[in-house]
Amino acid sequence: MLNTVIKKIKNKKWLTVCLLLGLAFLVAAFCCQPMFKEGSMNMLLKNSFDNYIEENNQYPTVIGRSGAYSKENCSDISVAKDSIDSYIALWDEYLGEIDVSDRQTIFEFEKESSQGGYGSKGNYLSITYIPEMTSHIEIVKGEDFDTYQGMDGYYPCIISEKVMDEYGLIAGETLNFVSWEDSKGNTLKLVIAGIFKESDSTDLFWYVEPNELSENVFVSAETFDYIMANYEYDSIYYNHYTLLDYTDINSHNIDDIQYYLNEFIGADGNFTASFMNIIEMYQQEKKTVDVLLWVLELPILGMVLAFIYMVSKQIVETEKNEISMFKSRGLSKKNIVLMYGVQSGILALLSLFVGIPMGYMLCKMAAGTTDFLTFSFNNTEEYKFAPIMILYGLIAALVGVIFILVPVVFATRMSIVEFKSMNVTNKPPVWKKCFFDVILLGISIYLLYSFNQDKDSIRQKAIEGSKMDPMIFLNSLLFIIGLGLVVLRLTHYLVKLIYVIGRKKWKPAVYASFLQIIRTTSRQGFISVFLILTVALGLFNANTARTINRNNEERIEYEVGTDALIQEHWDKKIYIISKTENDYDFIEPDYNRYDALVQDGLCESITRVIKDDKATVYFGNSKLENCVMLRGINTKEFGETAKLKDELNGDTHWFNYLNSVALNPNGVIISSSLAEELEVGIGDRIRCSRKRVVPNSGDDVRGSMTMEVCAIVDNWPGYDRYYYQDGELKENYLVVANYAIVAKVYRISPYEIWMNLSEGVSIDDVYAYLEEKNINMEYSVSVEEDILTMKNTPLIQITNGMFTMSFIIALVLCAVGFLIYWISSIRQRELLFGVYRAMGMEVKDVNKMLINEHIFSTFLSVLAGGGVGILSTFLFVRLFGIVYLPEKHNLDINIYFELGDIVKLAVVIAVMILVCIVVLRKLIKSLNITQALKLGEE
Amino acid sequence: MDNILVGKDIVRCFKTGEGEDFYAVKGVNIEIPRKKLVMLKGRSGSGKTTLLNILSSLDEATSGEVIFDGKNISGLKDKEKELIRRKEIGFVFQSVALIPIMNAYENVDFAMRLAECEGQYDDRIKHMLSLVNMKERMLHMPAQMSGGEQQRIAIARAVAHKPKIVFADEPTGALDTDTGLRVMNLFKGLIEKENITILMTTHDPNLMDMADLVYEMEDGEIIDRY
Repeated sequence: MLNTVIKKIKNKKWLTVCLLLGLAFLVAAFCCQPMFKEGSMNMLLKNSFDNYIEENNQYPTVIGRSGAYSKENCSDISVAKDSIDSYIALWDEYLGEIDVSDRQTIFEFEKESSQGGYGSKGNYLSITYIPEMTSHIEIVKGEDFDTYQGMDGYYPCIISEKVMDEYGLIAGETLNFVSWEDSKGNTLKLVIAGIFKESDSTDLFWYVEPNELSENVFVSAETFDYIMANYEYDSIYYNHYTLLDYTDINSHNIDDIQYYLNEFIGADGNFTASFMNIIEMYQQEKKTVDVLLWVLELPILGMVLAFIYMVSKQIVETEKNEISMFKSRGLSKKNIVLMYGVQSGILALLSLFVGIPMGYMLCKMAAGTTDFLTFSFNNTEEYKFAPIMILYGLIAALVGVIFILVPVVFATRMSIVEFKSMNVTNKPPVWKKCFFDVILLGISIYLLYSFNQDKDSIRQKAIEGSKMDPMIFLNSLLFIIGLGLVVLRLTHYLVKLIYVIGRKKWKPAVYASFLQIIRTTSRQGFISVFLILTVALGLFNANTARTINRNNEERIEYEVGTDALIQEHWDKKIYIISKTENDYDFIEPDYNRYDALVQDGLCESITRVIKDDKATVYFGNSKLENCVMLRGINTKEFGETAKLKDELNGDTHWFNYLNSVALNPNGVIISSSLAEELEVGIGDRIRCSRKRVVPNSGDDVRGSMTMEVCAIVDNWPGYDRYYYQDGELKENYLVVANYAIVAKVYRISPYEIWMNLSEGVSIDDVYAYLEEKNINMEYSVSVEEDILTMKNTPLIQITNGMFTMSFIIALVLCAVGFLIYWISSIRQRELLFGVYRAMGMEVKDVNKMLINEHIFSTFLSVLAGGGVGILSTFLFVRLFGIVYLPEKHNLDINIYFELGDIVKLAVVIAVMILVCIVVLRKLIKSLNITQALKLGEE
Repeated sequence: MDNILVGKDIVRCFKTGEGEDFYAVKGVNIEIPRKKLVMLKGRSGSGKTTLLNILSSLDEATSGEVIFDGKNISGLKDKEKELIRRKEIGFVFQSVALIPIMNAYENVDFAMRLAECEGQYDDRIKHMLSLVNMKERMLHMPAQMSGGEQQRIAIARAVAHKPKIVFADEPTGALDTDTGLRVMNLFKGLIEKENITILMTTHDPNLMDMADLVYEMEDGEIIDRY
């Protein structure tokens, strides 16, 4: 049997190679699933941690305890330390596989009033001890408390640069804590031995940085013990932080970690974990990723299986004589199927060797997509080979073998006579007879209708992070298949109609080609279905990916409002008012340093924007309290720097609004949301007040001004009308005023610097420049970075990756499948061509006939596929958009087509048809008529 | 005698797999008189099909001449030969001669379109199908017909465009004796009614009586004529 099988493989080497290709694609597409999933989940975690670091400027994965030890329970600091150590030991027992990057413990007394020796007004400071801090600091002035020689009656302490600046303290100054008295009635006196900063700004030891401990003075363990022993106090407070190495946390151990952390939280009221939110968000997104991966993979798998079935059917059709010969020689059906089983088993085994590495590469490719059909491969290290891929590969190969054997089983059931008559009597396919296409289309339209009715709840679910309904996506597939088949049915009717209309006039070539198309619909139907579906799916995938990417980018561009913006760190001058209250003024950094950004060509223009999101607006008796976004802008510069699409405010260009404010120093532009809420119109005067940033202060209004409404806008750079709080839709209100008046009325306050970057300048160039100028940034936002972050989110990554993968596989299979179909069908029709030629048909006419067949079957199918793809885009992409961009936004979801994608598809199909015609022409030219006729006799 | 077709010194040589020359037809001289049923008789491998292919311009002789209706057609360009085949020649092949995607009517129609016949096709097609007694089954597909029925349609198709000569390669080869005889009677009748000449090959000695002229071939040569 093995010999026969090998002979069979040799005889049909091209078809066998195609089958192997199909199987390899199947194995590859299926086995890359777990790798992609694991990689995505790890990327999700990594991104979550990275984003946390970026947004909070803090280490992301920290567990710890905070609390207090009363004087009675804790005689000296070592007791407290031992107690904390026992907890650490417990954590290590359960979370031991994760390395600890560093630990920090802070012990402190309550803030007490202190008098500075050099006559400063008096401060409220907390005496603090951090074990091992001396090896992580650099003394910038004076000495360390360990080396300080001492002043009688004074205990040495050190302070951070921040405390030095904000409280105006210097090295050598004494601090008298008047409320602390020992048994002899002496107050506690410290001397500032030195000023320190962290020795390395990246040192993880400083989870809480010296700058954040802005009301603390630091002493040695001995001093801390001495105070504990000799002074009256209620408790010492402590905060312990253990920094877990987040690179050790991955999709494998995250569930265990979550379980243990929940156990710790339940058992220990003082336990803290900084990343429970991250884990919860991860778990939520994991559900979506899971569903999405399968949903997007399904069409690929379906396509590959259809391809395998088609090739196998083709092989069986060319071997029908052999099958009947085997049967006539007494081979049972079972044995024939077994023989084909061995043949496909060999192929399946080979496909594993090819498919698994191919799956690995496909996964890397999909993971490396930054946009549809765009690759970067920078961020693919999380995607690693997983042994389970072999199991997935095996399953895929097995399913592939089953699909190969289906046509064999059908063939063995049929006698040679039935087989022959099946080929020529042109029975319509089963789907056509039972109107499967119409039913499928009906179901999908009904589902689409109900999803559209249900849009709000889908949106809400997506916002809440609930599991996505896979049918939203799968329904598009149903629609494409249903409509594809209906269109195929209609094109058959159309071809028939055209044939009937011109029946009397058709030249022989056209006549024969029409009859060929009409009478072999069941055979040609499969390649037509394949063509329609691949073209439709390819286009639909391309459009969906483009639409989702472009809309995401547009929203980012809109929300940032310009190319990039930064907020520099502004120092404060603090005025102490009482123990719990102080006031401050900001010290404006030198703005002229930014001028060079424009002079050096990094930016086209820059501008200052004062931003306050907690302003209050009054109009008549109504007000919007602490929720209005107040912006102070220089109109001309803002117009040059900010970006807004022209058409977003109806017919009026937004520059007109800028001009109206420029002409009226007291004028403001307000958002339509504010106008609606307070019933304000143009020309009305509103009052706007600002709060101080520090809460809990008594007199909290920084300033108030009355301004005239010049314009009402729907859209403004950086202003999004909608936001969500705990899943609920809320509205933002905007007031845009002249910079000068805002700065004057509300005292000097930090502003953002908005930058319109020059062509080709990356945000990294700007950061390098700012670093060179020693500009200390509080935060920065850039379209470039935000888009990159967006593209690295698993949802987008998977979508781009899977759509790209399915587009490429569709193209390859479509091209190969198409050629295979035509070439083997021509071989089958060799005798027929012999008859045509013998009857005197010219080669030219035979070519004409084939071209006509291509026009009315291939070209019509491609056209139909394109139509189905585009129609599905219009019907479904907005619905998909709700899953990807569920939040209500100023910008509606726009559908995007990229001509390039259509061109790519068209070029591949054109090349495919051209190659096909060239090969066919060659075949026909070399056709020996007498030989062909002899073939028939045999 | 008025000959529609004359073959002079026809030689057909093939290269064998080993590169040696193999002569299928060895200098044959043949004359086919007008409006006669002429048979090429011989065993399988005697060279009769090769000779028929050359005479019908499907194949080119290695040497020698074919004069068709007074015109030397040897060495004509493919296009000219195709034109002759389309318009002046009809073919009946041994098997699978019908175009399987076309029904009986369309098969005949197709041949007439190829020959670019003048006038109304419909009447002529139906007439031809009646002549071969197949009018009732004109909408049937070849696969729905028996071998004999298929052959009758093939004959109708070969004659429909009013060719001067019909070549038939073993037209009865795949048929039982009775059906074969019926086909031969049909041929005879058509010569009368359609004014055509028929040249056919056969190895069936039972049919010889029906021929007007028989050439017997053996080993690439004509060994007898009666």
